[in-house]
Amino acid sequence: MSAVPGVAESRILITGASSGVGMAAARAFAAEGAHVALIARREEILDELVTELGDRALALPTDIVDPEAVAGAVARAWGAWDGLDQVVNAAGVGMPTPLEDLDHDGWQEVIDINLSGTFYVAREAGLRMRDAGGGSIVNVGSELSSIGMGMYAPYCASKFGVIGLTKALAAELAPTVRVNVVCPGPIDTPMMDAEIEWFPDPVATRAAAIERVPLKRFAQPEEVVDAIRFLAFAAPFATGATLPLDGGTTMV
Amino acid sequence: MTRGEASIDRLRVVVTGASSGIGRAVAERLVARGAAVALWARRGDELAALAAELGETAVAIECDVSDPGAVDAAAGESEARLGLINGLVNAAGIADPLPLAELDAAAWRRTIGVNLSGSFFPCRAIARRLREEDAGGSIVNVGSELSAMGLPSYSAYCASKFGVVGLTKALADELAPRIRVNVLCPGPVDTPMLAAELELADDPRQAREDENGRPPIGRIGQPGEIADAAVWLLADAKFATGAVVPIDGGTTAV
Repeated sequence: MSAVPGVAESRILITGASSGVGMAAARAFAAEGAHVALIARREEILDELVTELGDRALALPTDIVDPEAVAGAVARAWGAWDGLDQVVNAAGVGMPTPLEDLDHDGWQEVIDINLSGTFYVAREAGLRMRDAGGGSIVNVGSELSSIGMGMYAPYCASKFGVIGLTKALAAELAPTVRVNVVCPGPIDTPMMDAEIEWFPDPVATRAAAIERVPLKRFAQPEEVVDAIRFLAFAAPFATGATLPLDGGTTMV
Repeated sequence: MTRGEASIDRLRVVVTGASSGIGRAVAERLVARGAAVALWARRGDELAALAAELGETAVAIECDVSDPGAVDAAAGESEARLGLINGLVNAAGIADPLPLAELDAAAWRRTIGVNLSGSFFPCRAIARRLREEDAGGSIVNVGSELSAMGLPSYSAYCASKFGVVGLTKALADELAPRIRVNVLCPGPVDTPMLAAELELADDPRQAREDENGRPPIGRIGQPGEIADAAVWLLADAKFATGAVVPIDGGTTAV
């Protein structure tokens, strides 16, 4: 068993770093001494985050739907620190959309970001880490990787897909690179706020969203980061694994 | 955070199957992180030695988990010696591989009794007291890669371990939000149980080599790796309940 470098010794590529779980992961791992390469579309937010985190952080403004841009960003991160040890695929979008309003563009955007974007990053970084002799990838799925929800057809399709992608990559990159997926339930993030605001009565919608969780609360982004930390650094025998962290929403 | 869930140094945990393998590794880690532990197993002499090794926060209690009366008595004794039990790791398990023609009713009942009923009885005893006291708690059951796939000669074992997943999900729903219930599903792990299974093969050395090569990750697991995951689920993953967590080197991913 090859030893997994600890957080402080690790070079970590994080997508979706401008918000929610990705941003929380960037802050937590940088605070623990890791080098973090931050991918997101919004350059100003990444620049602010790098200012906050210091010179162990690297801003890589990138739209992950563009495979060439992803290849360039991964190459820059790799070159900056002569390698990568971990990848956290936290980029994702999802807004409730009734089927009547779900046109091709609306479908394609969610699939492109959540599924294809995850693949492009995993492929670029995964092949490099395999050739370099080790590493791990943690993808972020969802409770909607295993249950359906009305008005979330492309989100469900993309997030179910992330599990299939995870298992296939785990098989192909074994035994060198581990690939796992954490599947959070509702998390207290800006994305969740935006989803709730979409409904006519956001207060009632939030209350109902909490009520449907058996543990009767949302997760904090830091709890999802803790699950990512567990898979990346503390579970050397886990690969192809799906880790639900959903307050019980998928158990029934 | 979940209301009323204790930090790990305030946990008083029953660990079944504590005399060897994964159970023993779980007990060692819990004590190292400040929890008090009641060690349950059938083999009293081995348990006493382990308790002595782990120090005064560990107590040894002889118990056959397939016997509901013995489980209730052991739960009572655990609480009397440590205080209200607010954690449970059900690591007791047996594997007795038998082809269908040799799997008689007694052998079937023995495996179901220890692995499935022997997970249920401690869950019931511990959860009942927590609910009487309106206290929070956490339970980790131990399933298997054979909670998700079949294997010849393992009918009873597969049935028991698939059953542990169903038990976990039903209890997680029923006991939420104060008591979390999750299940850890290890692949092949370097334990005395696996060693005994490999000894049954015509060529044990070849069987071990084959077993090492079976997980995509290229090796079998160590008890400590599984125990780390069990402790994480028990004490740290406070938003996880009803979760099925494979730590199997990839055997169920392919």
